[in-house]
Amino acid sequence: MKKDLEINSEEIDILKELGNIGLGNATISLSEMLKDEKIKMLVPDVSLISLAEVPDLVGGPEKPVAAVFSRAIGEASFFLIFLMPEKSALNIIKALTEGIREEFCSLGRSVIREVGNIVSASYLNALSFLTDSAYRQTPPILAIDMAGAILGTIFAEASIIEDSILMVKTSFSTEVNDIEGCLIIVPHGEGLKKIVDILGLELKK
Amino acid sequence: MSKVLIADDTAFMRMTLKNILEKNGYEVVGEAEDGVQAIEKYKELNPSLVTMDITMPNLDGIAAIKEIVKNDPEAKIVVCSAMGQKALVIEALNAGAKDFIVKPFQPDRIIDSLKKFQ
Amino acid sequence: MITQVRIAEVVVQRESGLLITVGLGSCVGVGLYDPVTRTAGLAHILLSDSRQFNGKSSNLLKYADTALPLMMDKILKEGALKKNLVAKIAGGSQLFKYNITGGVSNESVGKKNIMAVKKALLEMSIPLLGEDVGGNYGRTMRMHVASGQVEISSLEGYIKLL
Repeated sequence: MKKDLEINSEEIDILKELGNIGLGNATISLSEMLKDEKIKMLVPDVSLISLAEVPDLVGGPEKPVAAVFSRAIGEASFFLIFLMPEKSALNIIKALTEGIREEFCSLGRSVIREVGNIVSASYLNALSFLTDSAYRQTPPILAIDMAGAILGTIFAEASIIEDSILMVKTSFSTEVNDIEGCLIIVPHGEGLKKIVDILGLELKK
Repeated sequence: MSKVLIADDTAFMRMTLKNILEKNGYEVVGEAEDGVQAIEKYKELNPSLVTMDITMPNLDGIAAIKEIVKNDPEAKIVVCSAMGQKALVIEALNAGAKDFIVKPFQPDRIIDSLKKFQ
Repeated sequence: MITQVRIAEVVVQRESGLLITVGLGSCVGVGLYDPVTRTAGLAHILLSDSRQFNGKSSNLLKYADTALPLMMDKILKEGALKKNLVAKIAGGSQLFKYNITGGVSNESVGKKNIMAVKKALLEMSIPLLGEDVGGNYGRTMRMHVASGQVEISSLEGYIKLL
């Protein structure tokens, strides 16, 4: 029987640092898209929690959110979930279409998907640079619905069913356009230890 | 007028690129949503320039570049992708891309790049 | 008393109050009810088949094939009688247009879950009185313990009574 995932405090620190560096790169991209708006980053949150508790991480299972999901494949593999409350998603559509759209029509949904794509990719670019290895991403897909429904679907379809799931959540917010969101990384598979080791060495330099 | 084919799986990105290109005097003759369509439309439309995303369903951009360049070694393809990793940039350039632009980008960046290859 | 039932949980309650499970995407909410003793049970199923995931998780309440018999045991212990039991289900939708793992799949997890739940209910000889399943949106399921009535709602604002 597979052992429950164990993680010590040094590993948590490394993952937090990864969260910071990845989000840092992602916020540079976000800021550029939002005409150089200042983006505030929050301290990354590393949690080892049960499936049932996951929706609470993002505001509760009933919260209406837009989520963009993709899978990163490289030395380690993990899932990336970019998540925004519905209101923020509408605000970002408005900002990026220069006011032409402010709804979840086909173009609006396409905007969210692209933002999710760029944020996830920026994150992976930072990881790639740090570990000097490549990370590809599957084409991002979008769902707009209750957080619990989306997260449950992701876990079921991706077979993430362990009793404890490791999640690295990095959050950002902006003032001018009133946009907040987070990127959740769910390491999955054997590569986690490897990545933590490599990162640990890199960060010590 | 230079004819451009845009390949990207996101409608918003295709629209953004189209606006930038048309504002700068280029003619967008076609759009592709994945690598398979990119290959087909290249054959069909014979554009002078291509902008190519990498992460696309069905067939990714690098595979599409290889196929297009195989049939047309003179093809002028500029990659436009969010994946800005050293290994991937090298892979794209080795496959035959002429330049690699990382998203998000300023309009000037892509126009300057396309100008070089006309 | 209002009791939340989260992913991979089962709750049994008697006589009064509300059992709620929020955010059913591909998951299926299964309500069991004995109208005579007014005993209700609600499960939030994530996957169809426990045998596919050998030992990866010790929580058997995730899977339709193991959770439903366990829920039945629990509800019978609370005083319900098997011959009275009826079921109502909701969920099993497909939220993402494309397959999440990037591969080719014949059936979404949601559909598999619906089939597995129905199969389990059949095997336990519990009649299915009502269902609100499929589609591409998330649902919330509310079960009134005093009456056994179930309300299904979605973000779009519709309400269906089972």
